[in-house]
Amino acid sequence: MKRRIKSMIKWTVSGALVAAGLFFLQKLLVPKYAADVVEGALIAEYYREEKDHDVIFIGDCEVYENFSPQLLWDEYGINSYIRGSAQQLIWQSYYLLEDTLRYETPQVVVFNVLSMEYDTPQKEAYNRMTLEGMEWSKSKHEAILASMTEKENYTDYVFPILRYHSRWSELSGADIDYMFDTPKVSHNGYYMRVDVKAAEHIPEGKPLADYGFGENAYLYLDKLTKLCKVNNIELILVKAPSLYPYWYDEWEEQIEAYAKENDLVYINFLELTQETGVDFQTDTYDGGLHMNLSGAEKISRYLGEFLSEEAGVPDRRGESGLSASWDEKRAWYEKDRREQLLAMAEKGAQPEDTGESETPQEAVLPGEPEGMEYTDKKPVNYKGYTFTYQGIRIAMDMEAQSVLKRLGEADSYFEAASCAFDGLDKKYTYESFELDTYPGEDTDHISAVLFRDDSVTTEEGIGIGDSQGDVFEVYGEDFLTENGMIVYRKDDMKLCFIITDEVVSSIEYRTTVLDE
Amino acid sequence: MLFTSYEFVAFLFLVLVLYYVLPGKFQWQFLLFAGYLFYFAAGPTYLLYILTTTVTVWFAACRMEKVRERQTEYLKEHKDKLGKEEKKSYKAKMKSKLWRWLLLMLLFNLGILAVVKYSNFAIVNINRIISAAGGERTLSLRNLVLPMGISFYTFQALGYLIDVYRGTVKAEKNLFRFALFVSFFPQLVQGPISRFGDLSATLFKSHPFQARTVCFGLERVLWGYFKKLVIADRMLVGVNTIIGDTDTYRGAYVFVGMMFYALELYADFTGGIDITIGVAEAMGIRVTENFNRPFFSKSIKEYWRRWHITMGTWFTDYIFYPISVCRPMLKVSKFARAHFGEQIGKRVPVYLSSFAVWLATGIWHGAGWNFVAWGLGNWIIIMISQEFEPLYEKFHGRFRVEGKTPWKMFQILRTILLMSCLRMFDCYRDVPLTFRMFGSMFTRWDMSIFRDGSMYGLGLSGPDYMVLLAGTVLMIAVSCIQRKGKVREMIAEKPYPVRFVIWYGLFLAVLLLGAYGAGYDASQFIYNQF
Repeated sequence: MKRRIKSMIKWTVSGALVAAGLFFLQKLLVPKYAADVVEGALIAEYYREEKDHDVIFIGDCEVYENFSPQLLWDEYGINSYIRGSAQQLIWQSYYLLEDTLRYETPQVVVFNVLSMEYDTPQKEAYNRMTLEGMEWSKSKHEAILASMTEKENYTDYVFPILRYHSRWSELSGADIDYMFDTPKVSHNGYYMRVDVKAAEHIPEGKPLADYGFGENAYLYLDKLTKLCKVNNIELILVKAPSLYPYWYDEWEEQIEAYAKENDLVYINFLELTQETGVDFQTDTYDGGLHMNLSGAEKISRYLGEFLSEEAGVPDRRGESGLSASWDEKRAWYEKDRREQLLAMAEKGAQPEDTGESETPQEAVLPGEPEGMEYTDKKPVNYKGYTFTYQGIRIAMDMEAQSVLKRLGEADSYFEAASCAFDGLDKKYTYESFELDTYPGEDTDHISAVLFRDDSVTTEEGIGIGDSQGDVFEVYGEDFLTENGMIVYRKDDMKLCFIITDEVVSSIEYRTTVLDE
Repeated sequence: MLFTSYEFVAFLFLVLVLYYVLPGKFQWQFLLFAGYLFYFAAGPTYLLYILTTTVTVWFAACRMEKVRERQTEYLKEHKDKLGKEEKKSYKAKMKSKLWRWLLLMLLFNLGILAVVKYSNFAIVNINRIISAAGGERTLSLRNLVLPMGISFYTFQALGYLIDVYRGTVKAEKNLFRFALFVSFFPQLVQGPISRFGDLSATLFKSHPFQARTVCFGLERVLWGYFKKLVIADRMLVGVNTIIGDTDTYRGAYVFVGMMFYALELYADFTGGIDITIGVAEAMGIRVTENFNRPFFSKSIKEYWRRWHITMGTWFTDYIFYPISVCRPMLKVSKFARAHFGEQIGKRVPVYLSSFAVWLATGIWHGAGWNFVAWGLGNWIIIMISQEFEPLYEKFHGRFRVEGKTPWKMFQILRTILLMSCLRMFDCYRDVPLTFRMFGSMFTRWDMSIFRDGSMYGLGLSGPDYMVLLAGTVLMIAVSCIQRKGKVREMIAEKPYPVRFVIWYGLFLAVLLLGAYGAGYDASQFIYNQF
């Protein structure tokens, strides 16, 4: 008997030690989203809040960077919260609302419609930033199942240590400091930026084979609409005033039709720049992708007026407890604004800095003497499809520097920061084609070449205006179909054709590296 | 279901629990069910292949057993009536019946293997011949699935059939017991190639729960995961970088890739076998060892006695010996003795049989000329070292180095280098490319890659190299300790807190340092594909 008890104690203590060790290790290894990529902390912050909001925003960066709940409170007494996250997909928005309804039922839900462009799971990194912050519930379980890419595994969400086990080599002081408590990074879900970078050279949208939103996207929009109706919530659809990614007229028509059909309010802020007063020279911090504080407050002012007057959201500034809470939030809001301005001043940047110094040539080729021969550090993989322009051979994934030098100055240049992550995707527009790059470890690499007219052809002689039969004759009929495009894949490259009425209307070379 | 997948870990946990919860008499039936479930998870269509081999071989073995029983009864009954010649003639007739069954089954089951594994290889070569002859019409490649572990279970089943033919093993009358022998799930993925006599000794018995047995088995499983996930799969990143870009990675990089691959293959294959044997052991079942510290071998011949032992003995027992003593070979030997003298004459059958074995070994590993070249490369080296044997003895006698540690170290290093060079055929999978890369080690050697940070360009960071170094040192240390005794026995003698720290430490090493999950490509065991 004594031996048995001893054995039981031994195994119990061992089990407890194992469990405790794993618990602490998991706490240590999971990303804290406190010092960098703070967008990953937004979803979890909601659970710290007193949950009595009248308005809930759901959506991607176009909500958490473009609307200020603080202004809504200060000027309209609207108690709101943004449950936004980077590249939040529509099914994630739906499950986040479902999750929110476990705690509170707002009067109005504002949903940003940009995510309708995605019909399938996209990237694990963004999934994690949305899903990991959610507390466990049936909604989280279903959100994970709906969001996982092929390479993801449900078990990794249940036991995050399995996903982050290899972070041991990149741990920093922040991982220890914030093991059990992370600092607040948002203002009721709003991610504040006060810097300024004017919008210029915004590229036109690439032609698409199919402008219709996907079935899955519509399915979740329907579910979202139904969920709001069942809970007596007014659903307002919005399109934030972000100039990029491009918002197609065909998309606009579909959303307008949907709103009409379902008796929903739809506000497209892209069409309200005069009414809101948004100035893309001063109100955006990244060249037109997202609003800075000034822009967000202008948008919020317009929306606040609408919510108060049209949607009847009450002014609750008279509630002392709530007011006190918002006073505290205002102090942190002002502090954040001041600190950011101070940090910019210390770095020598001006809030009005338009970023004009980063011209394409200077940005790409800093300090290189003219006439210098550029060669790629690594041999270029020409095994896939390549494009040759005036004797310059361009392959996907090759280092962009030498090609850009030889192509000469681009007609226009545009760069876009990817939401939440470092690095810029760049677009160089030449007379007859566009060339896109993505940031590699040390330098940019070519990600795509899109033909703009029929003055250029593929190496195999196919150009815009040729017939579908010509394409099949040259490339064969062993192709894939992706989003309505005909895609030929060779090595890590794709050659994509859009065929309209049996005539080639678009040709694009793409890397497959970014698909993974 | 990869051994390294979460699904397998969950599957194993459930199987172990249910295995010990069930009454002992149902344990083997349950293992059969688990084996088929495991195989079904790999691909439902695969079941058809394994079922076909199982049923045909079992049926043929039973028929052969019947023939043998009839022969025994007949001879017993007619003991006094038959003369010596009549008995001999009767036995020959019966043997011919047995042989027909054996031949039929060999052709049928090796035929299946040949079709699914080698069809496209044959088609590619036929097309080359056609186009070389100026022909324009070519055969199109077949889209055939290669069932998981087909080479392993086919060889295991046929080994059993040959044993029944030889009368060294009694045919198993129970189809389900035989099905379990063929489909025992831990060894379905990559062997070892067990013999019926060895595996059946513990496979069908009931095994009551014994903490020590389960503990020992799981310890070995954990060690297998350590080798696979911490060393092999991390090393794989560097190997893939080097072999994936042969324009950039030449010269000294080839040497690095060659040594990385040797280490990766060792950790991968032995790790997988540790998992197999450990899982079986946790259920009280003894599976034949497949390795005996091969990198401590002092010659290639010795290496092959210590590496993939069950495959080596299979080829020796079922190919080498039968060919060496078959009638045509005896005739060749006789001819050679008569025309080239005694010395050469007695070597001819050995060399020809060895040639057949190494050719088969190469082809068994894969459908490609690189595997053929690899097999024949081994054969050439073994034959050369055999020819130089008298010279070595003279050298040893003259310099008295035999048995001395530095000489042993030299021999071990030489074997490692030779084996690693041969493995390049497996690595680059292209014979001319392998020779080019091998040559570049001598023409483009550049020591600076070890100093200027180029090694970090292989996809491995500083911490990765530290983990690899520590893991390799640990693996070698364990191998050294194994020479003195069984490591797990030694651990078992330690006080519980020490054992706990060892187990937990190993578990955390696998959990934290293992190259698994998102961010790493889920890698199959290299031997899965053979």
